[in-house]
Formats: sequence, C-alpha cells, structure tokens
Amino acid sequence: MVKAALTLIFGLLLTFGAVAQQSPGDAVVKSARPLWSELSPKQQAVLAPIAAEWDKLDTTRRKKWVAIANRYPKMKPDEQQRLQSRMQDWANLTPAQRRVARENYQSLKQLPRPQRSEIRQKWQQSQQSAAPAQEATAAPDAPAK
Amino acid sequence: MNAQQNHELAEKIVKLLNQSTHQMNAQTATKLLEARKEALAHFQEKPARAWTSSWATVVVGCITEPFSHNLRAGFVLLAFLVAVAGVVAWQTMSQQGSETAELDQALLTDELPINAYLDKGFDSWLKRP
Repeated sequence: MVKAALTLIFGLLLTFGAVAQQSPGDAVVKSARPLWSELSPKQQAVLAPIAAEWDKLDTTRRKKWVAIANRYPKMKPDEQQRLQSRMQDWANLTPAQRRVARENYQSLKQLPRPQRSEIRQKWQQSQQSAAPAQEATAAPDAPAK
Repeated sequence: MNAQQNHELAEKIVKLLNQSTHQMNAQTATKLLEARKEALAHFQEKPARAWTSSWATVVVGCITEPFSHNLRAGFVLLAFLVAVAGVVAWQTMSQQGSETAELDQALLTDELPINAYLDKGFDSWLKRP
C-alpha cells in the first residue's frame, strides 16, 4: 500500500515536471490569456506593433508584454520610441535568440561603466565601417545602365 | 528604598512565610496539595500540546519508518509534497514573469539595438574587451 502511495507521489512529480518543461503547443496558445480584445485601448495602442503576433504568444509572454505596456507611460520619450521600433523584431526572434540576447545584455550590464561604453563604441564603429563596405560591393552593379 | 533595604524586606517576608507554613494545619496543607495537583493535570491536557505531539509523531514516523504500513502518514506526506510543489511552482512562475518583463524592457529600450546582442563579434568583445 505504501509502495503504491510512493509510486503515486513520483508519478505526480514527474507529470508536474513534464508540464512545467512543456513548450507552448497549440492547446497552450489557444487557451492563452489575456486575449487581444481583453486589453485596454491604451495597452492595445502600445502593443500595436505586435498585434499580429499576439495570437501566437503563450500566457507567460502575453503577461510580460502587458507588464511592459503598463510601464510604458513612465518611460522616457526616446525609450518609448526604441521600444516601439524593436518590439516586432523581438517577438519574431526564436526563443534561443532571445536567450542569447538576454545573456549578452546581462553580461554587458555587469561590466564597469567605462568598459561598457568602450564595447558600445566598438560595436557602433564596426557597424559604421561595415556599411560603406556593403555599399562598395553593391556599387559596381549600379552604373551598368 | 535602596537595594539593601529591599533585600532586608524580602528576608523578612520569607521568614514570615516559612513560619506560617510550619504553623499550617494538616487540612489546609492537603487542600493546597490537591489544588496544585489539579492545576498540573489541567496544564498537561492543554490542546496545543496534544496537537504538537500528534504532528511530531507523524513527522517522526515518516522519517524513521518510511516503509511502515501507516497509510495515513503516507497520505499526509503526499498532501504535503503536493502543497510544497504547488507553492514553489507558483512563486517561480510569477517571479520569472516579472523578471523577464523588466529585463526585456531594459534590453528593448537600450542604446544598442537588439542586433548588437545577437552579434557574434559582440559576444567575443564581452569575453575579451
């Protein structure tokens, strides 16, 4: 009898673990809340860039976006602008890409301020030098007409 | 009244009480003894003490005799585990949600674009600035 009870306990724990690890499947997304129609007009306005993706998000991600939308009025204007322009790209990344980005962001935050700004500058410079190179490779085709 | 006076007064009181005790008749002494016994008996029957000891028995039983045939202890253990798992899961999920919201908001409003944090070169700068 006790053996049966112990088996039941382990069975329940295993089931619980499996449910916790489960990736959002169709059923999870269909029952996800809140629905887009349940959002307030203000929340809908902030989250407009990801309106088309909303139905594909699970409950955890929807709640995260609602939390961000609720903090939106307290953000600085430039932060609001950045958020709006990046939201859609962020929602379309794979979970693995989002994890990498979060890890890199947190690693950067842990560095001392001078080192942080040095890395930022390096990246921005590398982007600026990459842009003319791309234009140069595209240029030979242009005067052909 | 200073400390010495206090001490002297206390000694006098003790002396008087001792004298009275010796002069007490047998009937009064018996009554006092009975009252004391009754008070002690009531103290032992306090419900809180009984509850604690019964729970202690269950817990000790679970630890010392995990394979005993005590079905009730098994169910108590099961209920306890399920409750703990539920509380831990709920706390973890709510905490994870709010932490990710804060982190994602910070990342999305950062000076650097998302691409920077996905750049392999950026990753190597972080390791060797």
